[in-house]
Amino acid sequence: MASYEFLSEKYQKIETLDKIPTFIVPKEDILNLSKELKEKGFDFLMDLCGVDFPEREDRFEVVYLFFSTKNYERVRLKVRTKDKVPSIVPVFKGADWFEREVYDMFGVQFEGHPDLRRILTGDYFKGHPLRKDYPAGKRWPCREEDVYRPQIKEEQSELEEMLINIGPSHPSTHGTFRLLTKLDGEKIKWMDAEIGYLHRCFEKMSETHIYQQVIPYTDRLNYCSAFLNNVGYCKAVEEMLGIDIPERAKLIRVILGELSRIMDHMVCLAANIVDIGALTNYWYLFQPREEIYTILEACCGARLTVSYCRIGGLSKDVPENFKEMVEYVLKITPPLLADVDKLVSKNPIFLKRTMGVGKISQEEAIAYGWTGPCLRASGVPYDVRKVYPYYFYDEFEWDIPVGTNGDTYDRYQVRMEEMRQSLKIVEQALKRLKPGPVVVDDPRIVLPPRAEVYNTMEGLIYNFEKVMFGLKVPKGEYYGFTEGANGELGFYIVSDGGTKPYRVRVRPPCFAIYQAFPKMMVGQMVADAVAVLGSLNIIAGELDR
Amino acid sequence: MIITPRPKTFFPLSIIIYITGHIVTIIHFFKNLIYRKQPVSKIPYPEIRRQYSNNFRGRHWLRRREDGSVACVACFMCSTNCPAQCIHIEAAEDLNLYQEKYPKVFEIDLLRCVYCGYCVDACPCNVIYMTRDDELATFTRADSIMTLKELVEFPERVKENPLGWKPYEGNLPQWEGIQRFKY
Repeated sequence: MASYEFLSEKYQKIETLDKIPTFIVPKEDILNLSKELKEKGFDFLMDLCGVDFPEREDRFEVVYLFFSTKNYERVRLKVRTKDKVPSIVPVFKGADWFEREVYDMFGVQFEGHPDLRRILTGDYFKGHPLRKDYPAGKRWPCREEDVYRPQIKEEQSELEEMLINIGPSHPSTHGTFRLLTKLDGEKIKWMDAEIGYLHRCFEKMSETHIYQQVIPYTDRLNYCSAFLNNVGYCKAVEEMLGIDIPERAKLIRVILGELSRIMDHMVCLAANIVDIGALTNYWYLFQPREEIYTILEACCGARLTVSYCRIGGLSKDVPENFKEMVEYVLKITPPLLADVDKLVSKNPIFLKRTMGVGKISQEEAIAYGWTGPCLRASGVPYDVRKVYPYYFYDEFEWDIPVGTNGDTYDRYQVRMEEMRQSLKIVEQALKRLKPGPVVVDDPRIVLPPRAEVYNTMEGLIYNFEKVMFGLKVPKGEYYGFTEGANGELGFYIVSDGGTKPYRVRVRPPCFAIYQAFPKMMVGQMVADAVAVLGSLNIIAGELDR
Repeated sequence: MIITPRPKTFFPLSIIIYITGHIVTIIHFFKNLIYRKQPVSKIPYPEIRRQYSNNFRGRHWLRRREDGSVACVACFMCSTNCPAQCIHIEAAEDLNLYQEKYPKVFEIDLLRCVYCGYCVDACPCNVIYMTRDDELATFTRADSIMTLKELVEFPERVKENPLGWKPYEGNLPQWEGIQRFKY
């Protein structure tokens, strides 16, 4: 039984918009407290991020969000500091990269961290970009001599050792990230991941834009399922505002969101199976994907970067033939999935390449902070849509697919089954879809309809006001989370009551998954690294933000 | 909760798997050959081009008045709402025109543009639209900056029905049981 009651006796509890119990703790206690929380059941470090308040004496706030996989409770701890915080890596392995990111972005030193280096930017970078006094447009040139070269001790070995780079642009990495690998024959002796090649300063740019303008930026997080990121961000802001969007908007979000999830899994599986050597499935899986892109394009005008959601609903109603288009996808997808199943699922070559490869146990997966299909493949039935239902997910009939071993094969099977479940959800949501409005009817939040802009003075004023100043979000902080295609996609938004967010933090599911990858692969064959990397579905846009 | 299946590798069975796999691909081959009804995601571009919907967000277009002058009043709403800051406007005054304020310079940098359609949503005069033109490759970077002269013309490549993303026209219809917002 997870319990945080012991915290309220000693520490100050503060109110937040998201009702997650939040405590401010002194920095000396954080290591002991995290140990104690872990013993009491909070075994999962969901997020670790920093916030900068330059006007305070202890200007940095390091925010820890703990989660319990037993009874799904959450608790947030905040540490205020000027420069140093004890590292919690000895207790939570998953804090490793998160702490490195806070160090990179804010310059907070984590004492006791095993390898405190910059992660998203490089060593050439001077200053810490997410500090409020760092100008948003300032850049640093990266030269060839600034490239990260690790210092590795020469070891005696019978075989010739070799240091090779997998990436930054390699056909099997499906994105730009670099894996430095030391090989002993075909075996990996040491591996290190370097990320940040696709860093686009999402969090810094969000602070310089109004709330509505952040939506096109969220498209580029997980670009394989851009719509789900839109939903995640808009839902977080809508809950901060305390508005309830119309039922039709919710159902369209469910339908297109689930179709996006199918699309994401299809890209992942198709690419993964191609990496292993089976090419035919690629075309079977990409056919419905093209059809889904056509639906998205008919709704919002773009195939990849959709920007379809608005805070308060959707930007436009779906076209008239939306139902037929979705039904067509529902019709053609299951036979093609069955064909892939017939070709691959029992194929001995595929089984040999995937069974027992890249295996991760439940405890390890939780310790590293894995979520989504990769965690479910290890046997933990945690899905945000079931545990914290939103948008009628509790009213639809569907199941969580769960694997047993947590290897590459289980991840494949979980994704296949999830696609079938998503189709079931889409079918049920489509039946419930009734005509109605798709945005909230409130010009304080969304742009007023055209007829009112032309014919009424107030409509015109609201149109100008919304564009020039944006909407105001109440002061406070909120952690809104949805089930993205790769796991829990969280948006931690701090608002100072103005029209621009004070801080937007994305909890990218890939980030936690990928930090475990180099450690998992030590001792494995280098060809297996390709198979495992494909099954983890690392999207560089989400990883580097 | 569904536990996903986990087969065991078993040699005599594996031959059947290979045969089923071949049957699947052969069925696909003949279906594509004879019926051509299978959805094929490949389009032999540029002989056949994809037909985009009437919401497509492509290159921009500026509406003109009946006398041929551009209908823009240089209110800077589109450039304010642009998340990528790709619209550059310089306003000027002309007493001969019907509307005194007009854009002397109206440039859209298509390399900066993210095609989100926010400029169309913001425009209070229904001037800026997006077309269905998606072939925007240019030889130099300078060519990708669209000037006012180019923006008022329809794209040559899309002949029929060139307009894509339009401003939200809406009278919100009076849905049953839903109260409209009162100012």
